[in-house]
Amino acid sequence: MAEDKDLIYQELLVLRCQRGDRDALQELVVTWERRLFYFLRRLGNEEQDAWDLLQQTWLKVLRGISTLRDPRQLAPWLYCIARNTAISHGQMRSLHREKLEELPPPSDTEDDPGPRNFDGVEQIHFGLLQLALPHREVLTLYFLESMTIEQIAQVLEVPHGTVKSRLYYAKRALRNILTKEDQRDNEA
Amino acid sequence: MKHDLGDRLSELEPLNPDFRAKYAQSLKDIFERKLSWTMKVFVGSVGTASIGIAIFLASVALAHPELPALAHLGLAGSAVFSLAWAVLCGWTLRKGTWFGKIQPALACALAWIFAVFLETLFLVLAPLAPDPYLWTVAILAGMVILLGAGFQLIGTRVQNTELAMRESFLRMEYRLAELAEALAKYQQK
Repeated sequence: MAEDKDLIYQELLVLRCQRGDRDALQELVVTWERRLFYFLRRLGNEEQDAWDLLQQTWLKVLRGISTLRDPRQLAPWLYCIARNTAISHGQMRSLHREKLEELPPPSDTEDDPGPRNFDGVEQIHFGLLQLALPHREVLTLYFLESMTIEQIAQVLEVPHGTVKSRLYYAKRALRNILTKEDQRDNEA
Repeated sequence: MKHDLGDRLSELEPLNPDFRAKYAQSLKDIFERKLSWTMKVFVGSVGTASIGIAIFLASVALAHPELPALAHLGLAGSAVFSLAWAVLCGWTLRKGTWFGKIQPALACALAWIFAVFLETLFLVLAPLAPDPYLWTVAILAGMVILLGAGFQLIGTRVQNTELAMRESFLRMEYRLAELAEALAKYQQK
């Protein structure tokens, strides 16, 4: 019920932005800037670069908001713009060279570590920093927005199967990092 | 909110207040839609040209008292139209910002009023013309301007009306969702 209300409100906000309502644009920024900034930082950008990229992202959003046909797709649309802005930035392009070997998608019977299996936001925050970029970006989207596979695929512009596989191995890698960290803490 | 984890996660990212202040200032400029230098030059040129045209039309009207009254009316109307454009450009330059809701609507309305004025004038003057061919061409040209301005105006109005209607429906839908939520809470008690 509350989710429906949030979606309607989001749709209303997009519509108001499309009508050129400046208050709505400011509300859009306030609602999303922290999480978009977090995402841009996780893409390997220095803080100052991340702020610049976020500013460029808003400029593109302002120009393109009238073309957003389905306001319910606001989140993937925003993250897609932020990501593409970051990709056009030299640093991220070089980081993207550290490609992962794409592993086969996991079978349905394999244990999927869901978000509730990771306790502590601080732990997730710490673990994300240790991951390789393709894993980091997929998991950041997953934790920040609880996006579906389809939405993540839309942001990353990769097939659903790739997202599913990356998400699975990213969660596993995160769990390994956090387990090792726990063991180190226990030994200390 | 549903993205509680996302909010808590994003709050963990340390922020440099200086960088943030710089970003906030840049963002303010973006949302105010401050005119860029090229835009300022363009608006300034249109404004100057409008003043030039208004002066020219007014001087023609004053220098040729022998012209018929309708021709004077046409020249005066066109001069007023040019001055209205100059005022709009001057106001935009003075503000230094572009308001997505105001200027395009005003420009459309101005274009439409002028097209109606021009076409009416052509239609009134046509029977008095010594050369029917010339006036037929003038009327047809006026029609083209009228239709172009009409389509532009109708398009803008339809788009605004459609968005306004959708907004009203969504506001109703949102209110209903709020009521449903309140009712569900009440029933739980």
